[in-house]
Amino acid sequence: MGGLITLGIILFSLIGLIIYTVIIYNGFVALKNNIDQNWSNIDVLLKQRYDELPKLIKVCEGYMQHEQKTLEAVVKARSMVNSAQSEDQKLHAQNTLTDTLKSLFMVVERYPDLKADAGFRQLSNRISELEDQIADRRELYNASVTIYNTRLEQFPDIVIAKTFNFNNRALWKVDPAHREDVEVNFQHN
Amino acid sequence: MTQVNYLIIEQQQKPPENLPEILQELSQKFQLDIYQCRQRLTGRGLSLLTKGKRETLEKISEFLQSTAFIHWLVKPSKSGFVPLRVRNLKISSGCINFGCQKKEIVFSKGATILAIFAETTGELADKSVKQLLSSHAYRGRDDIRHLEESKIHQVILQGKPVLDLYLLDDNKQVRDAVRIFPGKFDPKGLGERATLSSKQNLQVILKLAEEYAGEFHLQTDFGLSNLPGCTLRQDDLDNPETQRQNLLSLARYGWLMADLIKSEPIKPSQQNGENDLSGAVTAAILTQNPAFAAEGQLDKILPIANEISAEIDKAANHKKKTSSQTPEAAEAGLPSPPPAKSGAGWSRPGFWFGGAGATLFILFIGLSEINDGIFLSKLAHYTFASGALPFAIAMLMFWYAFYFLRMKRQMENTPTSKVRSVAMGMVEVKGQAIRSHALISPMSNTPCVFYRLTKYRRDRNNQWRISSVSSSDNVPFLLEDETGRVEINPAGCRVSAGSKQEGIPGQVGLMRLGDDSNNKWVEEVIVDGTLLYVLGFASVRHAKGSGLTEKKMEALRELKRNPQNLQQFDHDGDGKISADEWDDARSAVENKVMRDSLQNKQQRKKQEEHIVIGKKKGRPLIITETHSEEHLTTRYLYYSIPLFFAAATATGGAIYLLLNYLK
Repeated sequence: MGGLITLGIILFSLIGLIIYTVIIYNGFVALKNNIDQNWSNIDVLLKQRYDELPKLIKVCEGYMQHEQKTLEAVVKARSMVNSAQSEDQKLHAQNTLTDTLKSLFMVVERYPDLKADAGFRQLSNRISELEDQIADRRELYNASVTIYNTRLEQFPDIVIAKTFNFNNRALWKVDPAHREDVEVNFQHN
Repeated sequence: MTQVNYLIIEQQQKPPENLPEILQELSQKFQLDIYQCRQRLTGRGLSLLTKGKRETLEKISEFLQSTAFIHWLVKPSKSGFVPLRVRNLKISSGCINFGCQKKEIVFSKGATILAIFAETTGELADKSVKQLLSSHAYRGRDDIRHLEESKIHQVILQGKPVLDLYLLDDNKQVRDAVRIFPGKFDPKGLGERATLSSKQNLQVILKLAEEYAGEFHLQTDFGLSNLPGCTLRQDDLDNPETQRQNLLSLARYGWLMADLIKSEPIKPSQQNGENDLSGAVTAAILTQNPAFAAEGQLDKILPIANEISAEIDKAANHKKKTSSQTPEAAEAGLPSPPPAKSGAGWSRPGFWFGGAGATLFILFIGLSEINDGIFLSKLAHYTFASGALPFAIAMLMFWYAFYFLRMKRQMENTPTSKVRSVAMGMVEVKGQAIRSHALISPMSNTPCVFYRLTKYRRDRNNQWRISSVSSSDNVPFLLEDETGRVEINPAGCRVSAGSKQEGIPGQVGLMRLGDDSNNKWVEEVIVDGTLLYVLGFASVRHAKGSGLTEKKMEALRELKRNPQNLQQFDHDGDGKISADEWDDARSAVENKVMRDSLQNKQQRKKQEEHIVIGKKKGRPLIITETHSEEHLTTRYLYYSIPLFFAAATATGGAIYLLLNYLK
């Protein structure tokens, strides 16, 4: 009788343990997929930005005859994004594109006619909006990765993670050049 | 002793855009209380802004002239006498004779008459407050609508009306005054105009006074205006002393209104200038002589121009009035919510799952106690004795415990998105709830984004049983964070509302008007503006609006309606549109519609216009009031832990019963 009770309790505990393990395992799988989805969601916006760029360049070309260098830089950065193969290359290309776009918008300040153009205003607003959304989604991606990495190191999740080879994921990091202080020079005429 | 002067202001129903600056000035320059001033400047009717020495008030008046507020600087005269009560009246072609107790008062034709049509029980004030509350609830605080003049007349007649008529002399001083109560005078004097209704007779006298008056002024705001000494007491209305006080207040109100007529209103300087100029300039244009537009020349050169100018001014003012009303009328409030669904609570699987489990348990316990040889009772007995029933209950509790644990994990594992960058799929957003429909909770009349009303009835065992559940889960609302707004569709959601109220049928707001001890209701409300946590599935909203073909059809119909536009396609100029010309017109319209449509597609839609967060099959939708996500997840943990313990105990019991049964 006592043996049966012990057996029942052991069986019951084992079933509970298996269910708990399944929940934790499924949680890890969901988190991993969540991270991948968030990364892909950034790509969706990057693609949108990529598609909007030719229109912007076309509008700018008409006004900015003397800024071919800036426009060429944007075109070049855009083609870099297209040809990038590895994750690192893609990241670098996207950052370069963001930088060249910033330079373009700074140069635009010298062209009041261009700034007043309705088409340019619409496109630049759209690209600024996309930039904001990309920044938000990068934050979201980092939040997902942090949740996942924290789980990996917590007990009892760490046991399941080690058993089923769930590894740490890397956070999206900013280009070291972007951490440097920006030097601002005001030229007095 | 210097006499106190009043600065009385005509309140504005819709506060001007620069009201904060005006209030700031009044507070800083004249040390007036900013909150009190706000109350006194906005509303319907007249209000005392401040009182004091004339010199001080003149300075404030100077400042007010630069704003849009019409005001009066009044030196209030003492109420010389109370209007005499009318017992009968006689009408002749030249005057109206009011017969009072001691004397007869004659209102001659062409005299200046001030009529005060008032309600003395506070009914009008109550209706006005109700109108304000409902306007606030349905339209929001920026679009408050007050009672209209016709409605005021109606409310006065429905209550306890009184008509005071003041006869003013050429200097606008009160010469005589009469007070008319419905049913307290002999209506024979009204002749053919007399009606069977005493209140209608009062209106007849009001109309008569207007007909006989050379200059007629009507005031209906007694009880609504914030004027000194003119307050209407609403407590203990049966007490004759209260009634006397209210009638005295009415007399003071009448005298003050006469003072206002005597002292001209001070109008905003800008508005006056504009009117003068428009009249003069238009007269100059009409007479084709620009010299008339010069200031001061108009009266001297062409006296008739004054009349023209006045007429044009009148027309221009009327036009201005109409044009200022049009946008107000066009400004639609929130749309009405779709009708509420009943029995939303019953449709949840959890409800049926739990309910079925509980019923089975009670049924089996009941039947297992009656072992009288019936098959079912035997079955029940053996099911319990063998431990099958406790085991089933344990499984149910395990299911719920794991469900709560899963929800906790889901919430913890989903990072919070910003509204402007919400991606399709499971998302978690936090922000302020904003109504997109004029939703009001049915019992407490609270402007809300969601409500759930559960009605209970007492059964034979004196226990409360749910008799009906209704909710607003078919009414979407908006969630706003610092980056934008997104639509939330609460259909099929698990809502945790922070505000809960209980009451009995017949209860309105916090006032209990009935005493029904066998029924009650519980209302859960998410109030407009509450901070919310939402976990749900974001998807693209189905496009609304007409398609391209409908737009083309509508544009063509519009073209047909407008012959002037159609004429531009009459290439041969014969005044008719031939088949070829019509083809041209049609293709031009189609091209325009296509261009407009493409242009609209280019413009990015707002998040709330194309994304909706709602329920997807197999995915949770949680809407809850909370200040922190941690608080929520802890709550789920607290639900699951006791359920785990109870389930473990029930399983232990089931094993023990099974072993005993097998012995």
